[in-house]
Amino acid sequence: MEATAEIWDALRAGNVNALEKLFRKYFDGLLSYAIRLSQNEIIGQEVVQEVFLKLWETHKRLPKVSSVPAFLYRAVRNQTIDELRNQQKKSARFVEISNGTLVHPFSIEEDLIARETEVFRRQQLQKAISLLNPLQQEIIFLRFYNQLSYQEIAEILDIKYQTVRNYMSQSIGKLKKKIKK
Amino acid sequence: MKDPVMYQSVEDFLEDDHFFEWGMSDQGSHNEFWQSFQDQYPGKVAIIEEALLLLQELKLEQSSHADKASQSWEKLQARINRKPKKPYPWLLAASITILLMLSVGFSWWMINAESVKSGYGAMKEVILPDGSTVLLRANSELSWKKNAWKKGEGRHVWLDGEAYFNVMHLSNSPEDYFIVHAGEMNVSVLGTSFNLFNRRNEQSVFLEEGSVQLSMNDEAPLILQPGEVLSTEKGSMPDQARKATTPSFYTSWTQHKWTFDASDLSTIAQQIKDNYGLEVEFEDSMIKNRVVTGTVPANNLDVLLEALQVLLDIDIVKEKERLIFS
Repeated sequence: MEATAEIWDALRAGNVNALEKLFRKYFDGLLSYAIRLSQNEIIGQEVVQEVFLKLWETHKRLPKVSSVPAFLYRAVRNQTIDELRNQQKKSARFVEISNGTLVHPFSIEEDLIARETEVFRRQQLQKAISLLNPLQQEIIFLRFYNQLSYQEIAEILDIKYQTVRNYMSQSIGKLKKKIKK
Repeated sequence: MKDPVMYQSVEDFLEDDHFFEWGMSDQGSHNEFWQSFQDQYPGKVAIIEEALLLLQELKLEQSSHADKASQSWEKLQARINRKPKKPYPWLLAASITILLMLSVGFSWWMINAESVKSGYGAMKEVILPDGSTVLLRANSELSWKKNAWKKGEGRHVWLDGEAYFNVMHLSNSPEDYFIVHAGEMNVSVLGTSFNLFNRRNEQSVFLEEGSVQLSMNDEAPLILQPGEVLSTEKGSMPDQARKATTPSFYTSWTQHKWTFDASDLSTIAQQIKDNYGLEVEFEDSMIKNRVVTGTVPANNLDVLLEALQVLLDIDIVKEKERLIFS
């Protein structure tokens, strides 16, 4: 198995096979993440496509990165927020036209929170997760589903390494209690 | 690795990368280490088991999308290849040659083109070489190529106006797609019934049964489900189709009825102009904003106007080439 850093360098040199390797390796995790954030599979699919399309178009300008997955997850996160903003603009325009008055939509951040708390309700543990704040939930998701390191999660969410660790401690503490009961 | 004494709680284990890798790999990697750890510190076994249980629970519920990777990659590849490349000077000569060939091709196409046009206030039924039928609404035109209807050659038609399509199914092969070119939009069909509107660079597709694929410019294609409608806006397609609230709104014209679904009078006026070629004038511009829902008979113009007068409680006067609503 070729090292991810080498694949990344090959992509920067314009090798389309490298793009395919990265795509196939990270597709599942990135799509799950995008769907989780947007709560919509169509948007999720589009986000992943856009991210890799941009990756290819800008391959000459891509930086050297310490972690390729951190770079990709972060790109997916930003693209999802952009996409949701666009959708919101479209619907805001529609609301404006149809009613003559503008109904103030939720902010994107609030919306993400609302979407995220809707997830994971089925089982006891899922209930407990839903009680965590959205950032804690996202950290759990990135760590346990996507197996990213604390350093990578800190890069993706653009928060301090220590914050990730603290949040994780608090979250596990809360979840542990739930599972015991 | 921390000092074993440091592992006091579930948190301590779960936050440890080494332990995490062991648990995530279903006790695959680092197994020897953690087995002997448990042998050495039997007091920690209960905590370890609890930590593993939590880890397993958290790992569940991950829905995999890995099966979609190949399809999505092919789509991405197509998008990458579709990006226009910069022209180079040496390509100029080749371009001119291609242009010449195209114009030759164009005249060939003109010679081979067949077309049917419906006049104002009249429908026309067209039976295509493959047995598909098309009911043209008033003031519409359908064209196709005469000698390109053999199996496997693809079926291409061009629509200007509005029509209800009933397409014969030949095979599931993409070569047997029935493709309607409507302005900037392409509708690809295997076998199905749908209504297509294409006037003033506006398209609207309503699917009654079967499945159609819509594409426009370089945008990703969209598949319509029965009962859904999709309308374009200034040459760009929305990301999603919507459920048609009143299906008859798109199809009742084939039975000589017009259905309005919260339609305002200026939209109805546009429909009259499209189908009968008559301009509508409003004596009082306030009337324009009135909204109507309902179905009216439209066997001919007089019947339609009579029905509209009753439905809207207005007077309609016909004067040469225009109608006056008051």
